[in-house]
Amino acid sequence: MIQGTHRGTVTDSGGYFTIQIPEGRDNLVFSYLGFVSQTLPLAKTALVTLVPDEQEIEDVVVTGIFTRKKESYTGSATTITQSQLTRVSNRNVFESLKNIEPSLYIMDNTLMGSDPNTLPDMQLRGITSFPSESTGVTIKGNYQNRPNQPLFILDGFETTVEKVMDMDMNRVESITVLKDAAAKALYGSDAANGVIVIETKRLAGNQELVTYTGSIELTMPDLSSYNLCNAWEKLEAERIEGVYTSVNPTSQIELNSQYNQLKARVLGGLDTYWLAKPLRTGIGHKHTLSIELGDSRALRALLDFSYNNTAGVMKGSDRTVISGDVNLSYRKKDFLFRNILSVSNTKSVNSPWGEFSDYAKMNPYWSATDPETGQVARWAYTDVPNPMYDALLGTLDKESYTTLTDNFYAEWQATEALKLTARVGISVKRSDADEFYPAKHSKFAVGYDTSNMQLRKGSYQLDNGKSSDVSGELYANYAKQWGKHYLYANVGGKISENSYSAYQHYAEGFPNSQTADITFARQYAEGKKPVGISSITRDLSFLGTASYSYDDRYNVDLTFRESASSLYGADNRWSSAWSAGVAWNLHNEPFMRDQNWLKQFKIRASAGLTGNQSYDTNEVLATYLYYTDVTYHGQTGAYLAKMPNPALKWEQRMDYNVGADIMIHRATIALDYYNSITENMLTNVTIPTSTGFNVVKDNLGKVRNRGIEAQLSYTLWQAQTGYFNVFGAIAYNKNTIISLSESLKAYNEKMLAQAQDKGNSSPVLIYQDGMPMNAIWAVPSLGIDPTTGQEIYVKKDGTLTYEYDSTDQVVAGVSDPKYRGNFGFSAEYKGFGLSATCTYLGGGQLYNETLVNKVENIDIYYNVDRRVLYGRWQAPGQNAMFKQLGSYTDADGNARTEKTRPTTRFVQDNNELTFSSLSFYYEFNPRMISKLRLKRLKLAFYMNNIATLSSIRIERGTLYPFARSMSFSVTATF
Amino acid sequence: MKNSIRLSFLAVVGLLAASCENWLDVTPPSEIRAEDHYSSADGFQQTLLGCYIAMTDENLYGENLTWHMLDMLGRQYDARKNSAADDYDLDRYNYTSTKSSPVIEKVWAAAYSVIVNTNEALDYIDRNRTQLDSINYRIIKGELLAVRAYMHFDLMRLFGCSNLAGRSDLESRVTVPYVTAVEKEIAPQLSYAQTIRNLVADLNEASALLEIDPIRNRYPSDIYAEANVDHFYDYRQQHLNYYAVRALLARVCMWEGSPESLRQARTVAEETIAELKTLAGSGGSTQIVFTKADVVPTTHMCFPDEHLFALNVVNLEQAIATNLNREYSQDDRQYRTLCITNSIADNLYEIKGVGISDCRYKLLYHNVEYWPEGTKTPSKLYQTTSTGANYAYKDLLPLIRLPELYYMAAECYVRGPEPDLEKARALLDEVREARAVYEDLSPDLDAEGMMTEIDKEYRKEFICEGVAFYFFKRLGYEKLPRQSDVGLKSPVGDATYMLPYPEFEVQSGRVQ
Repeated sequence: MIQGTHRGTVTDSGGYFTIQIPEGRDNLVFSYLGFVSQTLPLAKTALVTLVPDEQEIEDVVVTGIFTRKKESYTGSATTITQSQLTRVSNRNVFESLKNIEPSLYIMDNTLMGSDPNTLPDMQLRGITSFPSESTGVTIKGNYQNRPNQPLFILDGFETTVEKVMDMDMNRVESITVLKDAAAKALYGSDAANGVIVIETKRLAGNQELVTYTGSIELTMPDLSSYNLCNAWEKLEAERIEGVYTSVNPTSQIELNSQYNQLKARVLGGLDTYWLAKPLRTGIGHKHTLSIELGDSRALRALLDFSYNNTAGVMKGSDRTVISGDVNLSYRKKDFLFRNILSVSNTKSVNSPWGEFSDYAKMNPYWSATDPETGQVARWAYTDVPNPMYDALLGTLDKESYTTLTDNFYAEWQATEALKLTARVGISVKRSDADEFYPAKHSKFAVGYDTSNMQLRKGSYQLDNGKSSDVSGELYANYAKQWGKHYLYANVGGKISENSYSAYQHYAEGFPNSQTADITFARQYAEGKKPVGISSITRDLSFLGTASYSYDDRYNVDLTFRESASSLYGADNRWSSAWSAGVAWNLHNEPFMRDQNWLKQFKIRASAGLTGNQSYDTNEVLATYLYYTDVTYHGQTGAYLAKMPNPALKWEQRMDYNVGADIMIHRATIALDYYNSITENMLTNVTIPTSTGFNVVKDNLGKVRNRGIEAQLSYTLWQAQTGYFNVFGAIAYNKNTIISLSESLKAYNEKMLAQAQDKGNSSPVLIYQDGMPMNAIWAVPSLGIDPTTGQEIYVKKDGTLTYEYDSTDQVVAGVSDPKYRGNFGFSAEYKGFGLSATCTYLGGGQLYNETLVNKVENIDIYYNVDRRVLYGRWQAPGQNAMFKQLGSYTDADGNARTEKTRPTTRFVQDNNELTFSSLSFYYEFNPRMISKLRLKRLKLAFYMNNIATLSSIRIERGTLYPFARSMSFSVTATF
Repeated sequence: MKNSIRLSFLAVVGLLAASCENWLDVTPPSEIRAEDHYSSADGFQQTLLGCYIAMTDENLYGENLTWHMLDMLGRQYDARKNSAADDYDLDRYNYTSTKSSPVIEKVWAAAYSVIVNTNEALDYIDRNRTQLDSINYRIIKGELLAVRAYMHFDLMRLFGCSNLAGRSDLESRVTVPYVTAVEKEIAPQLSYAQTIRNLVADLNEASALLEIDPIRNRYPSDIYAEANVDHFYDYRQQHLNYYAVRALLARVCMWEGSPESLRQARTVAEETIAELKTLAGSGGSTQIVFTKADVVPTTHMCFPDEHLFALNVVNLEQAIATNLNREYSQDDRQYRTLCITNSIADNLYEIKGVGISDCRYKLLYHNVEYWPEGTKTPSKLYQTTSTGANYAYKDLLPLIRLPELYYMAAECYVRGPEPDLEKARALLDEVREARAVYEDLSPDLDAEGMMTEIDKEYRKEFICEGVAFYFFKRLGYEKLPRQSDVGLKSPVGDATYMLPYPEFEVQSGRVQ
């Protein structure tokens, strides 16, 4: 383009061009989308290189299907850049997102703690689906999605949580969280739970760069939530509980001697700290090598190779990911082709040391090692197997998977306004898992005495799975500006097929402990047969979007998507999703334009309908199964698997959102209010058995999620040499069941009966209109009666009773926090950077089940909580926090210890403040390092999950402890 | 240009939309769609076999609707002594206790689960008629209809009221739902009269279809050869064959009990008896005749020659091991073993008199070596012969046997529209003779006396088969045998005879 004229030209594939220049015009403007324009005098134009526009990502919204200018966008979306992500943590994408985006709630897993091999569970803007029922088969390798989980889109293609977690963070260019209908309706029937769009790095310039990033990470167990007795306290607790008293004088003598023996042990200094036994400080490391190649004209390449080893805090548990990517792009005239090929292999090993709770329950006066030899003892005490012994036998529990993904993208700029884009993606995954217990494992210690059973000792479980996704899409983009009008439209369609299958085999009888291979088995496991799952889903959809903007002031977005899925019967195959959004850029109004302090003031509102699908085909159509263990005169019989429901429809979520994006002076503010109503929720509805079945999958119920989200960031100081920025965010959500038709009554009654059972200690999920889905139901309690030691309950009518009645249960709390958020600061000065983030949550409650189980529902022959010592009722007149429990006879005539059933006594407020991240880095001045032939050198130090302050003292991480982590990383570019 | 792009795009979209319907019809390999399942005769045969297998479930004829619950309710065993026994409440006709109601609800659910399977197959068999040859079509459809009727009839007998003949509200009062479709919405309840009309219609259609049943030996066997490559037609007595369907029709008519129905029952029973006699004379491969009395207690305990319909219950030995064991202890007797006190058995079988040689009495296992002496348990379903050898008629549990045809015909001659005590006596004597009861009934017996004899026959003949209870219920007995042992007071009525509907059915608006 010749400056000051309308005359211009485009280059050929080699980048050459000819142009006729009129007299007096000698400045040429070189421009390209996504690059900073350059104006050069004619004389200096020898080889022109454009640099990419770094600002670009800040000003656009990447939806995964197309990229939109942020200013005219009417949806609610948060864009997170690579530098924001890596400022918080270098562990994985979720660890960072947790601290940045408050609307995404990534729950702490109170069972699995910081297990590197457990995938995080998350929800965006509240829960809308019932927990999925177990299929009865637990197949390793993550083949089934969780119903409340958002949709993940990686480079335009749907992907899994697992893949996102294992992805090298250095490859991420940006993450966009699409929250309201206007943003997510593009994904139509899959988008109800929100969409997270991840884009990997694009090829930047034409320089040939090699970047190495390496880090070492230490993870340390965090046991601060444990409050167990030491040896002396435990013995004392047993004495108080009457373990060593008997009415029978003969046994009293025996008990006395037993007590004295243990006392002697304890006084002799025996106090085993079992919790430490299976733990370690995990040392993990990762390395990424990224090579950018390019010749500025047509062909560019980005090669990545990475190795990431995460070591857990339980001995032997780790996760190793090795991956390689090739990202090629080629531009020819109006065409752009891009292909991203990635291969990755993940190997995860679970600790052979078993479950952490096995160590937590061990009595401290038992010994882990043989006092004479110092070797690990087979028995910790008479007839008590030592869990450490099993760990040293060659027990094996590992999984691995390999994925191969190829994403191809082509773009044709047909005219200045019209662009056609096509994508084809293929992803294949192979997974396997092995679980081996050698013959000497304590699993086989009891009941394997006969010679026949002897041969069956040792077991092996082998899982194999594969999955493949293929999808293709084609879109036409039209963008046109005339005068103050700007029109953008996009139409196209998508077609995809996902399939997976996974199978499980069992074998038994292994000659010795060290041969961890299934071929050494004596036979297939008796009475077991191969089990498995398989699924195939095909989807087809058409999308149309249009947006119009007038003078950058008034903006309208419309989206419509029509999808069909093989999951549904022919009657309900098609479903529509739509959204409409409006936005008003107040700052562009003539009367506001000249205000220097106001950079942006956008008010937006949207409404729309999106869907959700999470079930199998056989819920819709009649399918058959065979009787596999019974025949009729040797002939096979078949039966209907489930009650088909051809009328099954998509779960639908209607979202309303209003919000504002404001930049005043040095502050950036984003505000959102939303109200979402989910209808036609999928659930198992109890039906009369005269239909032939007792349950059918059906659409019912209505649930509302309402909430507010606010984010604020303020730059206290900014200069050429650095900045200081503080930020804070809050997300508030309230979940209410509006209506759940009568059909769940039978379910609720079943739950009430379960709560009434004397052997039950966990609260049950009951769904009642007007209450949240995650309500904690418990019987109101006034505490322990000092005279009798019995718990006093309040009945519905207000009267007091000692009798537990589950129908007296009330909503005693909600297990989801009402509000969550984060705050912190980030600062940089002359290459030094420091940032800190705290997260908080509150307004919710938890049922302190671990406390119940370690203080009341205790087995005194194992280790207990310290509070047993002083907190339990002993004698009349004592004001105690906790009671003692009686026993009862169950239906089979066995004597059982009664358990504390759900009571408000153990419902506790859950307010938590976590110092979740601290990072410090130094980026060397390029001049200093140029002698080392380095272009860039950065050193960084991170600490994660540093400390947690909580209003509730609850054992967290019962099967796998939580961990703090610390890591040091180096980034160098050559 | 722009227009043509737009047009061609729309055309492509249109084409795609049309062809995608087929493309979207996929099922994962681990699932068999009904359409694929029913694409050949195999699928229909497998569903039918699946129904028979489902009928062998312990909640249905494998246990509770034959030798366990139903024979307890028919007072065929001693009363339970210990209230801790799992079936104590059932034995006392306490149907709503926490121990009984799950048992009863499972009977209901299991029966309707068989029905839903027949309905899906019946829906497809006419749609896919072309996939089947005429033999397969007729016999499979006939059997499916018969299975559906069999289950509905037994549901009505269990959960419906007693003594239909003595009621006047059959047209207005509703009974168990007659389900003919696979739907999640509940099927409406119909009146007793309409339900019986449906049963009769289904059974008539079934008999018409089963007219070519190979068991009748009417057509040359090679016409079945092609359909029978997988030996599906080899075990006709363990399928609801033509004769079984006829007998079932007679049962339904007897249950309805009006003079017209009794006449029809008599006709059907007599015709069937006659045809079976002809069949026996024809020398065909299957003959349904009385089992010889001398081999009954030793090698033919389940009367295998007489089966009109029996189920192949896999591992029957294991199923009866707990409750019909030979070597029981005092505990077993209190909690588990179903047994009869010697004096009661002796009395019933009249062994001091005419019954001294009755082969059925010899089926009652003498338990002399083990404590407690003085009781017996039936060995009809034992899977080893009295010498301990393996049983040739393994895993067979009879549901309809030849003598019932005689009893029904005899009863119709006593109570029916054209009474003929002479014929009734002849019919009964024929059975008695086959059972080695050699003394004929006295010609002086009046109608009441004949009914007493028929009553005795039902109780002697059908132990372990769950028939006696229905006999008492059909006739509306106001007094059950030894009822005081279980605390029943006369007159017993529908509180005793009617099992309650599952709670959830009642909550869903069912009326009992």
